[in-house]
Amino acid sequence: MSKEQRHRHEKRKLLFFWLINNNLISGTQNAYTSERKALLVCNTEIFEVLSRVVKMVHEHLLTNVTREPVSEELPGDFAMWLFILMELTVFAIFFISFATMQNLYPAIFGTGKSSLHPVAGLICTLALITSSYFVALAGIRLRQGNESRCSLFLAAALMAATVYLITKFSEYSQLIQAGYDLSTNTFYTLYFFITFFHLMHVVLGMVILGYMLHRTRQGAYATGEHSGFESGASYWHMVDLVWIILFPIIYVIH
Amino acid sequence: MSALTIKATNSWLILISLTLLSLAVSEWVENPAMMILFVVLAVIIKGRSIVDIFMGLNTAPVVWRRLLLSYVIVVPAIIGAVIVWL
Repeated sequence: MSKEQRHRHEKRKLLFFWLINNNLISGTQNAYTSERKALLVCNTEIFEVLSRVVKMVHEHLLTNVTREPVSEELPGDFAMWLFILMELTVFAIFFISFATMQNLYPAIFGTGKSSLHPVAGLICTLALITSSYFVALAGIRLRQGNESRCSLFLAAALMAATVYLITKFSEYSQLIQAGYDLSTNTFYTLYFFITFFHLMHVVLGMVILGYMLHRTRQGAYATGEHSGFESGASYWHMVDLVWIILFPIIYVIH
Repeated sequence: MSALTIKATNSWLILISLTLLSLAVSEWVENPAMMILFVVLAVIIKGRSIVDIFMGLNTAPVVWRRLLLSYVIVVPAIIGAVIVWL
């Protein structure tokens, strides 16, 4: 490890201790107690493990996601990317509002989250990730000129998206039967509003995927003009990206 | 199997693994700051994977890639900070 790397490592370590100590022992104003010493030793070990994990992930990303020659154009239509940016901004405001309200009303949010089923959230996540993967594979096959395989992957993506829809509606149905709705409290208002808003995007995305499937079967992309396909695929990946952030906020962090 | 397919499959496996790991960490780790730190890191790695591999911004103009990558870093980081410190 070079001097500069060691210096950076020490800086990260100090920052880590500051973060941890401000959270773990913010209420302990006593001078150096034995508990505090033990906690610092424990934190040192946690920090070393975490640094190794971060280093491994970083190395993995550097070796596996290396930059390829930069293209002049975006995949898909420029207008679609502006629309994606707009949608992401709206969702970011929802997410930050949800986190802020969770901080203001921890008891209401704690009780609300315990009424949700994490397995339902997990199924939705796996379904959307898999659907996005199938759309990516469909794009690869289309660029290779294999339209029949492209259609097959688009159909598989639609099926995975249907699993998400069924799970989400069954979760809504269970909550409504248990007596929870939009007006129950702040948690349920935000929960129903944000997840339903996302669900509407999934439905729109499925309509777009269905149209892409129809066009592929018609041979409309055989000419090599894939802009429309790439726009639709980018929209679908945006829907997945939003859920990737939404899932931990609602189901994981408690 | 083409190189692009292998990359997409690796990304899918990373996304699935990190999702399962996040859920496990939320159940097992009792320190909320550590749990949120891990979950936020997982979201950032997952977001990067979607932006670079699935969306194909790895080869797109740098400005757009940076814009999307900054979103997947800044938004989860703000959410984590708001929940832990606000």
